[in-house]
Amino acid sequence: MENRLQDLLAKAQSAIGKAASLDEIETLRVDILGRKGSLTALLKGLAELTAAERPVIGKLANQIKGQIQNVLEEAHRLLNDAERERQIVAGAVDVTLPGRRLPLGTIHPVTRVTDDVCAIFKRLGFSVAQGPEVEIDYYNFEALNIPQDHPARQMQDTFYVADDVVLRTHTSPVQVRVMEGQEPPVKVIAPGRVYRCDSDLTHTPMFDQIEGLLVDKKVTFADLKGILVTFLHAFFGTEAGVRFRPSYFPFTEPSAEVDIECVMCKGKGCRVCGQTGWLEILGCGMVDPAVYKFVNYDPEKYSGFAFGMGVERLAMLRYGIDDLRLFFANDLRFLRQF
Amino acid sequence: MLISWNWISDFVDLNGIDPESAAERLTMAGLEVAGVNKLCPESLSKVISAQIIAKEPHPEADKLSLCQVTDGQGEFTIVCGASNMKAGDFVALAPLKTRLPNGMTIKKAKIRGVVSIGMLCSASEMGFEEDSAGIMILPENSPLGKPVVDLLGLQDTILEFEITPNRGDCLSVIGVAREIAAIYKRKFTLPEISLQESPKKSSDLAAITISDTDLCPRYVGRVVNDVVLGESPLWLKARLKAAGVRPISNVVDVSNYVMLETGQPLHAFDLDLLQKSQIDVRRAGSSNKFITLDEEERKIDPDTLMICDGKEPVAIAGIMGGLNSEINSETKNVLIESAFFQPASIRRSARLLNLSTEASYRFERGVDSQATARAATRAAELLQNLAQGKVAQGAIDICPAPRSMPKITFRPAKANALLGLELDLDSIKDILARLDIEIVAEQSGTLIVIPPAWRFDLEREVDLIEEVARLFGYDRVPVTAPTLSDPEVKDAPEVAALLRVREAMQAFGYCEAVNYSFIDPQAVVKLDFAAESRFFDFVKLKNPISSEMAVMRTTLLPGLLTNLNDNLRVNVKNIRLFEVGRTFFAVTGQKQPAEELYISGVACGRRYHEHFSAADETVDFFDLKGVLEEIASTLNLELEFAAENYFPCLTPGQAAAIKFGDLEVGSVGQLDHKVAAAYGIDQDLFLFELALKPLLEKSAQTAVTYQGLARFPAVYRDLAFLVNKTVAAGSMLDYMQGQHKLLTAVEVFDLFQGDSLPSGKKSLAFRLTFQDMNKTLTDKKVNAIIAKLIKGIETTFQGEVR
Repeated sequence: MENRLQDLLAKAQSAIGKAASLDEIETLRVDILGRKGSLTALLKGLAELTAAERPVIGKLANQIKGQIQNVLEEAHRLLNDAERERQIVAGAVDVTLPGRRLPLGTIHPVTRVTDDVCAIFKRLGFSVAQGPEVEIDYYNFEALNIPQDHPARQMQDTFYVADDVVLRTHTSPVQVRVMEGQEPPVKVIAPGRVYRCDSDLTHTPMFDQIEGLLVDKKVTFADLKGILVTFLHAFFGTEAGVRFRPSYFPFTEPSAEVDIECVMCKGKGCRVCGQTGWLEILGCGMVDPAVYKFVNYDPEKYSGFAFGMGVERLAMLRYGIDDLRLFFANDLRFLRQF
Repeated sequence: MLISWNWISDFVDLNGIDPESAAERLTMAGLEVAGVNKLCPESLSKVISAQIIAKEPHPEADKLSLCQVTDGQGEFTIVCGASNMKAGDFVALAPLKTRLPNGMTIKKAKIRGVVSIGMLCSASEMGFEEDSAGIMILPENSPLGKPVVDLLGLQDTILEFEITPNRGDCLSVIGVAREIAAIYKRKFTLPEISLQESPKKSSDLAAITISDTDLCPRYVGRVVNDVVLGESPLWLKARLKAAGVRPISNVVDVSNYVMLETGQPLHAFDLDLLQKSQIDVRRAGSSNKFITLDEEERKIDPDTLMICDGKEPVAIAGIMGGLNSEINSETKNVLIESAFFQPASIRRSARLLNLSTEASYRFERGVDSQATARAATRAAELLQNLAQGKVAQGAIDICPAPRSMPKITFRPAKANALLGLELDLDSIKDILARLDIEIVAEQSGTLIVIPPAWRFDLEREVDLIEEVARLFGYDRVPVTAPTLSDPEVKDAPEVAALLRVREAMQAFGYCEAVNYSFIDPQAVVKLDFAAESRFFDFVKLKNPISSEMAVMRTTLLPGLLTNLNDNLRVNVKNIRLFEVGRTFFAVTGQKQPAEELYISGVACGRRYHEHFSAADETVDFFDLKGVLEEIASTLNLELEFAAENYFPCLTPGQAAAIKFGDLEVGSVGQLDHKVAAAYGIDQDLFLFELALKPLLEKSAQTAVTYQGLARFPAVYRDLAFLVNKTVAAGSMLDYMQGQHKLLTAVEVFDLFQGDSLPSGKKSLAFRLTFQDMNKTLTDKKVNAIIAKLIKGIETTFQGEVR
């Protein structure tokens, strides 16, 4: 009996060792330990043993049963691990392959810059105002102190729709329309499209401007400097130098051009700034009393300032774009970069 | 405007000031200097003075000679092709390695067997003249070994100015010199003019009258007899060329020179060509033709001011002289005109003639009416010195209406208040004095001042405030924050709504385009719109840049379709573009058109981004419809789509009209192949155009209100119906959605129209969501609603439940 048990153990170990799948292990378990299994059958012979033999053999039989169970479990575990390993290998992805993208579109650089500029001025208390692009001569010129035959008209090549109707040459007419419609205080920022009859490498017949106007009591030229320096530092994200130099616009007096230290070369002088170290960024000034006359504001009671800037110029400087025409070609290879 | 630095020094002491720093100071004072350049290139300084010791013919060549020259230090043998020199002459020697302005570099050369060490230069080789015969002969006893440019006074710097239209007074050397004097607090001086007048009197030699004194308040004439026409001296030609003016002859050059120097345009008439030696200044009176000295025949407006002789017009006043009285090679006696013409009149005439000259440019901006006579005298002096002219005695000075300068009340306190400064009275007076602004009275802190005659831009107090700021220095004005009486931002709500629309487009992968607002009207014709539709209510430009940009756009589609085609041509295949912009419709009886805000989109190519696992599907109708539905959703609005066709350019059966309430707001669909071909596109492409204004306005009025979340489970049921293919899914959805308040959502989740179905039928499957906010729904309740719904579908749509 004892020999037969040892023999069974040896055969079981050998068979389990050869098992290649979890199914085979299960079959072996049933074959050996199951109700009709070989060990179970063998143990039925215990009844025929003597009372003295029975506890000894019984103990041995339990030991062997335990050993077979251990072997089965170990084999099961190994095969299970191997199976999982196989599944992992089979299921592995190449993480270096590209992800599945739903690419976002892009916002045109002109719109982006306009939105950014407006956002900065909004923080400074300005509201957005708009006006027509096909404008009456009165708003585009007359009420801005640019009478017929004024030399300043030659500064702006105008598209005409009728003798007294033009495509606005600047966003400044919005100033007049806003002041016509309300009493001070006025604080508006007016982005918009403007047109000039000029087309070459550095001019497009349509471009974008942003106009600003602030009229209130006791507004000074020093305040104008304060607002614009704050804006330029916020927009360019630098503390770069800003300079104001006298200039001329018919609708402001005193008038100024504002330069910022070249953002490309940090003021050392480069191709972009024409070796001067400065970039012309915007025009501005204190609103001319002649303009107040057109909108019935009292220049003894109120003062204020206006400023205007070209959006494409700001975008070119911010993104390093060197060809103005790219803005209106709508080449996706360009648009997708923003 | 180009101005010589040396020339400026005739009027103000420039000692200790270098041109670069002056350029900076002038720019910061409002006279923008765009460039500072040397008159002669640096390398030309290597050309030095030398003397010819001996000259012999070249042994091997008839036309060459051998010159032995000395520069005071050493002697050189030079082979020379010119013949205008002799031993003892002083000449310009370019030693070896000198680079000349024409690009030539002097090298040691063997010419017909003789080694030449350097070259003797002509004026043209040094860039002083266009042409020159022979080499340049320098003045007798020139010091040897010195740079020729120094000896000739050509070591100069040219400043390039960009003068603003208000500063006509600075369109001259004198004007700039005055500014420099004011900025640097130096003295400005006008040199004395010295004339040796002949006994003949000007007034006996010519007669001048002004008929239209309103347009010509002052006219000065000066006669110079017996001029000898010839070339101007090098120094004068150099100054003219530095200013960008081509030398012509001494007489013409002198009038140009004086204009550049004083800002007063002059005209020189051949006195012998003036009928009766008379001048009358008057309006043309009638529409006439006149031939100007550039040999162009010009149409003259009756109100244009003309200079006439005893018989006919001889010049367009202030703009250009006539061919009939021009200085010519026979000219002996000259009448110099120096006048003051009304700026507005000259502006008007120049605009009508479409003619801008150096003279009209200055007259339009205003010239100094008190310097009229001096300019004529200065020209006479130069003709006397340079053309051997005999200056007749006295000037003919007709001044019927002397220009009076305004008296301006100036309050220093107002200046400080507007500028944000605290300048004391003395500092302000100092600035006014430096600008020659005369203080004629002073009372309790208020000044009465008179600006100088050359300043046309100083008429009001505010103009003087600018002068104070300018000379004080804009950069010294402090930087302050304004105190606002109302700091609240009041943006129109449409601004935020538009931002959301753009964001939605971006999320769908569309890139924003910006196209010109003007289009070719043919581009709209190509879109097949009915001739009477508003798409042809064009706003036409009177002066378009080209016929392709002749009218304002009435639709954004031409721009986007052109962009799409351009992108296909550079091999970009999967395209999604949109544009937000204004369209313009002419309105009868109104000066200004209706400007409306539209959004349009175009798409073609793959639906999904290129990926190894992505389905190979292309964009279709429902991609664009989905975009529009999401735009509506982000605005909290609903759009309806009807199987109508507002846009004839869309393929029937692949197009829908977009409705917003009662409004027709746009179209969406596939572009007809024929129309696409007209735009050069051979691809399936889909587009939409949508009026944004009504949507943004409505959205701005629509507040988002939170809906409570359901606390009881919803019940979901699927229902499929077999219906005729012609039944619109949308109408079934609309029907079901209105049937019961517990039926909270209906969605189409399947569409099947295969061969296994009876012909002419399709199967539509709907997912129904039932939700009671107050209790758990029972099957019984749901089944009852569904039973009623099925009956309804059967009778309304002849649908058969599957």
